[in-house]
Amino acid sequence: MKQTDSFSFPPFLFSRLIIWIILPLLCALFAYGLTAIPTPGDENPTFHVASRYLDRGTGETGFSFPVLAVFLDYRSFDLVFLSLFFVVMTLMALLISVVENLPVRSFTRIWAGLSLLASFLLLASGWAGLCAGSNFMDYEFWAGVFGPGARIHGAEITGFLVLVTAICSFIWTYKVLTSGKEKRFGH
Amino acid sequence: MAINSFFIVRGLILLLGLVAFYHLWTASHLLKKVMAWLIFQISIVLLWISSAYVYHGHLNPLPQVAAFLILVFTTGILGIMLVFCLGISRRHDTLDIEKINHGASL
Repeated sequence: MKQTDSFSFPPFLFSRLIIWIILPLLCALFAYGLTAIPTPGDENPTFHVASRYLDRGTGETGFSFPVLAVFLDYRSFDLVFLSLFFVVMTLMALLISVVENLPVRSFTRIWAGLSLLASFLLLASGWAGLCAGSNFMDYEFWAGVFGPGARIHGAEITGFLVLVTAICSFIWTYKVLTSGKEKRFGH
Repeated sequence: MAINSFFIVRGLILLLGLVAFYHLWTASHLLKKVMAWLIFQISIVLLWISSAYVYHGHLNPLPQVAAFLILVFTTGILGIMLVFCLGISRRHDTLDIEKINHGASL
């Protein structure tokens, strides 16, 4: 006879208890963040690096739109993580299509191939700068080779490759999901 | 701290996020969990967008970039979650965790 059964905590109740501990903490964290964010009428908010991006962004990167300057140039390493993330997504969909033996047409696998190819090209172009003694994905290296205008083109090519990776990955995952449903319902 | 309409809007977004987080934790159906997680992420994105204030005639680009990145990552994670759901539903014919656990205990 198990005597410990009478002392076991019901999992349902346990999850409710945990959430009522986490929820106030999360609420306090968010509320603290809200009070720290400046209001729209604030003319001189604490700005840190964003003011530098706005003041020098167009001159340094060539983009007239500050969001593009930050997204494609200053924070371009985020795009590498984004690309790697979508590679993982593509590979996971590929794995489940193989393991579950889903009726995915061979033509559809081109989307997975394109996604992986675009990500590989992005990493290869980044390594080119590294091999030449510069930094990984250093647009200034390309500016030294092709002239000052190459920096903005480097950023545009990076953005394009990440966009291709993401779109192809989405299409591939969608095809896997729909083919999985087809087999399940016997169509 | 002055209570203005903008703060109320942020408070409502915060409330939406917390309600979604509660359902993310307590829902037993996997699709409901996925939807709750999606709404939670959307509330985070809205909070980021609400913090994009004007400086020297321009919107601060960092919150917009952060919001966009979160949105793209969220969509990708949503795809991965749905792939997992597909695998589970093909094995158990249901996405309800309690039914799956009940079936396993029999």
